[in-house]
Amino acid sequence: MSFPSNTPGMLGNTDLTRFDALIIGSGAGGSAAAYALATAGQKVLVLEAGDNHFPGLDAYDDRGGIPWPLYSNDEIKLSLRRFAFQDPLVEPRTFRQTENDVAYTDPDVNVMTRNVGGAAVISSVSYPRFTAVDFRMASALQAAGHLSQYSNTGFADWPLTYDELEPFYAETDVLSGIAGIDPPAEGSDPFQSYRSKPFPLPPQPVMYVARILANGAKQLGYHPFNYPSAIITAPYTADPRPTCVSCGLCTNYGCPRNAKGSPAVTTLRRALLTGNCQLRYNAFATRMMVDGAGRRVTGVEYVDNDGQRQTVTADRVILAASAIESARLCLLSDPSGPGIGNSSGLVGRHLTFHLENIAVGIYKQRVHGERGRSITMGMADFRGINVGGTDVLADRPLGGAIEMGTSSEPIVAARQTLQPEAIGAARLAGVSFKQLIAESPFSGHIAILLMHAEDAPQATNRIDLDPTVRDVFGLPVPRVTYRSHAFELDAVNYYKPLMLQIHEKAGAAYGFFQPFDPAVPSQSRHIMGGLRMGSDPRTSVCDRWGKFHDLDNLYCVDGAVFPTGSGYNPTPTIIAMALRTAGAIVSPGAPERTLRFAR
Amino acid sequence: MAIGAAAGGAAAVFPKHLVRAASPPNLTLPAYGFLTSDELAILDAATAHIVPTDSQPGAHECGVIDYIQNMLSFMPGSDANCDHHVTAADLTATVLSTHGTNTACPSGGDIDGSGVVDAVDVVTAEAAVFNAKPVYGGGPFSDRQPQSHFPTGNTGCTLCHGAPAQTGAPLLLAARSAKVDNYPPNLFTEYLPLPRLRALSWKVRILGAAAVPEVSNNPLATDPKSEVDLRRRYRDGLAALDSISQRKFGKPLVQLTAAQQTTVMDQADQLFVQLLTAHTVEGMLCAPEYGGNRDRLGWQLVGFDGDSQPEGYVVYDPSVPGNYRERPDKPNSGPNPDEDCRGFSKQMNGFLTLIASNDMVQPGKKFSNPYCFDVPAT
Repeated sequence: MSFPSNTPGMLGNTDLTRFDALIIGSGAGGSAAAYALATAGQKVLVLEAGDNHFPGLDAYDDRGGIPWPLYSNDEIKLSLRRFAFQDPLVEPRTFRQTENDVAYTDPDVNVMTRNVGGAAVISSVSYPRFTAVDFRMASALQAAGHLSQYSNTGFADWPLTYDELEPFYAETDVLSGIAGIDPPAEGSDPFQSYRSKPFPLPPQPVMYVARILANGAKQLGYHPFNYPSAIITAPYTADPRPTCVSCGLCTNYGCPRNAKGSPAVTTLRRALLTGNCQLRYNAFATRMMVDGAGRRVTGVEYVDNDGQRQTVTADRVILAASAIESARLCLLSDPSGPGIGNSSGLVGRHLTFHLENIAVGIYKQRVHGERGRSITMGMADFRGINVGGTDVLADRPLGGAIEMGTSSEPIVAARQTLQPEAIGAARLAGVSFKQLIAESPFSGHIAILLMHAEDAPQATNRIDLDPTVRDVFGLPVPRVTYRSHAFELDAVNYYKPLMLQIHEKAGAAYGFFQPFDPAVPSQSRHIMGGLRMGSDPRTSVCDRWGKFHDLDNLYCVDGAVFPTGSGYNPTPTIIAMALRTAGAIVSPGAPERTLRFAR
Repeated sequence: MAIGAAAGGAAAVFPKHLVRAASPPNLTLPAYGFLTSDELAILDAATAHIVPTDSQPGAHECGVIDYIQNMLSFMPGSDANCDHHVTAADLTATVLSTHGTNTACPSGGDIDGSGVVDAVDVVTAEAAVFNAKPVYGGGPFSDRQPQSHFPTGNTGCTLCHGAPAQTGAPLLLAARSAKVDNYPPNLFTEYLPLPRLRALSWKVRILGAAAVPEVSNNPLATDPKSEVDLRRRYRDGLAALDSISQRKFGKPLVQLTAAQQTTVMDQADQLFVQLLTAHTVEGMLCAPEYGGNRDRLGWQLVGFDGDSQPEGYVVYDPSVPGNYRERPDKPNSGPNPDEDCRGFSKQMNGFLTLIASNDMVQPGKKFSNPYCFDVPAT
């Protein structure tokens, strides 16, 4: 066994040459699957398109811990030059609202990261679960009469229940190190469904800006809660990593001290340390090869960091490249046909985001969003579901959970004031650019309520291949066709005045909304659907275990398989689903036998 | 200068995976910068007009021109042996390229993007190796914050992977055998190498899409709204600013009044002015390792502490309620001790009222009774 790796571009056991499973993508889903398979003794190869910012992730440092990462509180590096993100100058995407429009190239069409560990590495690692009703949303909305006034919504029930997934959520809690408050205690989320095990870590210390917003929400009778987050809040014997010090620059920033329980430092690291896992980074998968009968993926081609094409084989291939890229790879692999696994014609369809609805409050005092963990409080009163999360409410629209916080990045905030509307208003009011920076209303004084409204899935919202634009590999780029449905636009308009009310009660001087323009692509990083799972091969791409209906050895473990998107952050559900799919590979029909912490 | 000797000497100094800013000992190196001193003077005047100096420092004091010069002086072709690291070996490879004998990477070392590897490239290769400018600073910490200002009681070890509490020197620092006090070594200065795709992207940024055939089917690479082709745009944009001010007022930009400068900026290409403004902000508020934000003047102007690791704002301590100890001067969960509730200047309130009533941000509101939570009214 030869690891830690001394080979450039590789982590883990570099001696491995024959693989039981090949996983494309090292994010939340890919890392969880790698963990579950490698700990069960399978030999796993992970291909990651991005760079590695965790040198020695497959090793212990001289104190027996995780070596320090290359992430830092550096706004130029992380936010402006987007150290961890896909780079649109070499990998662009195009966007249009409908089939009839001509797509245009935009620098941010739901751009995700290109890095070992995936997008959760630079997220706020807000890790609430979906609730029981999220797995039967079509039925629940129908019964409550919510769908009668809308046409062409594509809601579907999941081919599994919350109860089936719950043990995998409990496993995710321990693996990721999730902090939170157990119901029914004050500060827990009353709309969450039952948990078989308590949160493994105590709640986060609440930052000032979240206390201000929670104070406003409480006065209106809402139920603000300590947002479940995969951040080390106390010494954690299951996975010893440093405790968080609330350094500030958090969302958009990888954690400089590995306190964030991102996939890299949790599931992926555990997988690498088994000796059964090899990871190749800066390795961009370009194509899957299929046998003559079309039932098996026989190999995967990728481009390495020297620009050379390489081919690898494995008994099983597992897609985990994030929803847009996983669907794209199916299409790229069959350039003259409908795409791999596409007998249903649904590959790429039912793409689903969260309609981000951002209520901005400007406060007279400094609220110090530059300190703390970005998201420490939230509320789910506007999700439109009942206490316990078992049903939708008939008397209000389906909305989304709200994150209370802000991430005060001074350069990003100052550049916001360079928008034409802001420059015009500043000239009218006689405010100089320097005054805007120095008084910093959009930085030091800003508090944000961010609602993740649940989008109605639509078959017309989809990913396909752009006919003209190519990436640096010469491959057609993903073309995203997306238009928000009246279902979620109505919901957002219903909740908007209520969100402003929270700012008012909290003491804000001004409140307004981030402009919403349907012609501008969504910047939501909550990307789901495209390889929808279901029981019927005519109406879904993957089966209830995440295996493609059309193929015997191809699986998907990222958000692409989600039939609906919930109104909570998706990452822990991606992890739990990936653990379940991998569990079903190791132990067919009884994946819960592979659980180690949640049995 | 004997290139080979420089390369050999430097090999011992530079770790393979890192590019350092420091010069090796006993070696005088040419300074390299893309912009000429004349261009820098125009740039200084223009950025100082965007954020002028008054009772508080402006773009000039913050060293914005250094930030922009560093960015433009990044040399995407400096990895002359194509091993994805900029090391002393690239000097040798650049020289080999001038003789046509660079077998590892035949066209490697074309740093200025001229299409041939020549003596200019050799000189700049030295600067690229020994005087490298960062695209990405290293991590995880700078040396600006200590391990802890906290009275940490029994929980001194916040940097040791959740291991039991320890007293004495933090283990991180012992491991890196750096400063003797509680400050970590500055790893922001250990600039990170670029993987292949990033290097191509930065080539597009600095030299333009024409230098990178791989992006010929990407409209963003030639979109004037993208930050691409920066050297040409700065060269042309600064020349245009100079010629407008000479033509209109018969003087260089720096000698004009603020009102005259506004006239010049209004007549210039507005895409260039926007680019300049955006980079001015970056140069004022970046980590100082990128060249700007001199003496952290920019951060002081906006009331930002900068990178706060490894200390942060709280420390875990189970002996206090809520398990966390906060900094008395900068608490995580509340206002600063000296916080006031005065709010904004009259003009700023006017501006915010306009913003809140803009149609695009509906239903925006100016609230009638704002107050400050946990801050006494003034």
